[in-house]
Amino acid sequence: MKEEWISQFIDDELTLDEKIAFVGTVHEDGPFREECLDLLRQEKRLREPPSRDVPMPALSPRPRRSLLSFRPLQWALVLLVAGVALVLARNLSPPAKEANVPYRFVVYQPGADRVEIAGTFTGWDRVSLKRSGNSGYWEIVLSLPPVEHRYSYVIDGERTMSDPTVPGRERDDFGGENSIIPPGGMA
Amino acid sequence: MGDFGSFYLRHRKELFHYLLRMTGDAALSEDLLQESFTRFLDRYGREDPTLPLLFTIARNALFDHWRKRRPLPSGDWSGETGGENPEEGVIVREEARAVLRALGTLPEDERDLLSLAVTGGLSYREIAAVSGLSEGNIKVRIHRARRKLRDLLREE
Repeated sequence: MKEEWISQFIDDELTLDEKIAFVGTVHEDGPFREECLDLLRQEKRLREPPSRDVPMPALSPRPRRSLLSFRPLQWALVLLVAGVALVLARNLSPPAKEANVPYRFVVYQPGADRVEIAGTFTGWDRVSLKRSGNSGYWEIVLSLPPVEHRYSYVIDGERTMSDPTVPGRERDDFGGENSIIPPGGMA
Repeated sequence: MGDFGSFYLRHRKELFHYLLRMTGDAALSEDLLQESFTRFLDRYGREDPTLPLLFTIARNALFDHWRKRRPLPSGDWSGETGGENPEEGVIVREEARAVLRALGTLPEDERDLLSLAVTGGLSYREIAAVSGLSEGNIKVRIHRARRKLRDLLREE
């Protein structure tokens, strides 16, 4: 009897003939059966997700370039630009911070069990929308600064879609589309 | 987001938990998760993404990280969440910490193969392709890892 059959059984890697031999051995061999049960119980612990949350980092397909790879001339240019920026920053007074305004996001998804929104204003973390009764609409009101926002909806944790009510769109890094709301919201 | 967006949403959880099982460090796993998907996009674009390729890239990113940081302190496998403030990051489930600690004491190759098998989605054939080992070798090593893990968890 091959001991590895226990792991192959757990991982669903046995052929049909091996399954027949495996089940026969489980019936006939007590210690083998106990080992199977031990490892199956262990597998339940092992396959439990180690964390409840899973981060959703923002991704960029653009090649990143290390500053360490810059040549001396490029470093000089970087320092020059930084110096000019510093002078300008000192001479300019900081812009007055504008107050947040409420943005209402509504989407029609009657067949969904869960609808979320992810955008620049959530750091691309997903935030759940609330179902609006039995209407099939989902909605959320967020208090956001009156600047340009980019976002998309996530349906049942798997499928993403842009906001069909917003004309502004852009291709995202994954071949899909994000919606764009201009500063101050939609007219 | 199209195909790659769906691929990302569907598999980031599996990849993150594989990395967490390999490192025991949530903050590092998050960095490697981002690095893996970014490398994928940079090198292969968004067309026809596959799980074995994603895991190959993630393992390379992880081994690159380890090569730069070696040697790892032997007693540093606490299963604790990374970062100074656990409230700010992903929280490792209390009941999973013993399993992560036990995984951390397995030889690296056995921890790798077992983590690939239990994280889901990869067959032995795909694990063989990802690891460069034969399927026969995979069967033996994964089972050996499971038995060692059982002994380690009994000692907890």
